[in-house]
Amino acid sequence: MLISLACFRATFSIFAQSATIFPSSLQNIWRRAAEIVTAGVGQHLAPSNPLGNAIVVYLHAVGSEGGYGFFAPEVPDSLTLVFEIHFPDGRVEYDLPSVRSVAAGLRFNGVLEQINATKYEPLRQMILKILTYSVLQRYPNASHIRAIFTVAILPSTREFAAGREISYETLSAYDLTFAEQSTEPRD
Amino acid sequence: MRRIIWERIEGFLFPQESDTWLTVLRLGAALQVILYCSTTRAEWHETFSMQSVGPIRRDLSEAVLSAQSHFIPRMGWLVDAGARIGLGEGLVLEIIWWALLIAGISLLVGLFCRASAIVAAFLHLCAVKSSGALSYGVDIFTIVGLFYVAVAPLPDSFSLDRHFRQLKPKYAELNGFFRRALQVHVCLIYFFSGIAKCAGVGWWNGESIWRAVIRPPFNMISPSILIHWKFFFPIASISVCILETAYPIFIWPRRTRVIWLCSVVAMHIGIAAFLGMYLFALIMIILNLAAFGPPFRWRQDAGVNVVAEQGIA
Repeated sequence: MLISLACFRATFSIFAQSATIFPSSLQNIWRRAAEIVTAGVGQHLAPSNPLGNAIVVYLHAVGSEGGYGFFAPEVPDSLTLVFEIHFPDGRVEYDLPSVRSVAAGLRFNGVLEQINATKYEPLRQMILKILTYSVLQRYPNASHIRAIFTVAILPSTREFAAGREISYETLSAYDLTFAEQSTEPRD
Repeated sequence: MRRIIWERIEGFLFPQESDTWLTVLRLGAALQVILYCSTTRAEWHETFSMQSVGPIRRDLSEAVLSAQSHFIPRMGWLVDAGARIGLGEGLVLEIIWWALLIAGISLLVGLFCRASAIVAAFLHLCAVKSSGALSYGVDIFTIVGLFYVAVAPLPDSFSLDRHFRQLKPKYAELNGFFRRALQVHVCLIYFFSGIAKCAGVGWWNGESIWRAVIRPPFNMISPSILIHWKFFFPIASISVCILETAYPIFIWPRRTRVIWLCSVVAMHIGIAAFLGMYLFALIMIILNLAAFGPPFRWRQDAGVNVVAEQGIA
């Protein structure tokens, strides 16, 4: 029962937030439905409420807290994060977030999707700053680092047949100057 | 009338069932735990250490978890517990990795099944929850598998516990109930996954399959080769929608179960081959076979052990 409700919540949220085959006028209804179901799984209860906590822990323990809407309603664009490392002598180097295995690369892809899904700018900047900080450890002499968040624009079958390849578009760039510990978004 | 209805509900929830499904699930989940350990070994400390210079640290993931509940298992609990007895973070993380691996191996051979299953499920859950954004589908479904192994009546007939320690499950009559719960859970997984896909335009014209196979980092085959198969994409993507959404309808009747099960397994083999998601495909096949696969038994036949099919239950 709880698993069903968690699945309904996730599905309604997907419908409410994404473009689907349903009319956009229904999005408020999906949103409202998601809110009702959210209440049904105890999410409206106070953080200290034992029942609410028990439900959340149970859903996490059975792997159902987020629903199962993988690759839905559409397959998302592919995201990349590139670091532009600037040195005091004017030299510039490029680097990617380091992972040591193919499996870790697949896992890191989820991090990028989560950053992209984060609409709250301060949180998005904080995540990027943490990621950039890991690069700074490898380049301690860098004066500043620019984190460039790009999206791979995937051509449709028709476009690819007509000669269009995968292209990359910058979504946002963040300058991180570590002497001042500040971030400045540059969209 | 009420009695008949109750008997039918009881018959559905508590069917007579052998424990071979549990053997499949135990072996599969244990294998996934071992593979999880081996694939995360190189970055284990970077992922979970607070001194890490890795891309994502566990404090961020655990902060997100705390926003939902402070009682969701996490690595921080174990590290803090270790600190109370004077163990450093690095040593605790090393112990957790080895404990998870040993629990996985022990579960695979069926030794100390119950303890191994609970330890593996708990440590795996802690690791996945604390790695937050670094986890993906395979981890979620391994959690599903490990949960049912941990709560089902162990040890199963094929475990070393049964053969060498002569242990028997305490509530073997509940085998059917736990398999039924897994079956319903798997049906929910496919139904909701399918219905969410059906809402996307790309799943009806084939573009979603095309995007999935050319999308980095899942682009195993060059788009130049794949484009020659573009007529196949709409067929494949509509088939995926139908297979998943109609799974709860066609997986129960005997007549359609084999077809549906084979089709879904084939779909997951395709995902492994074309997207390189081998571990994801493996755990999904295991969940399907455990939930709806045919039972089998170990038969002594002229001194030779053979696995004999008993047909579809």
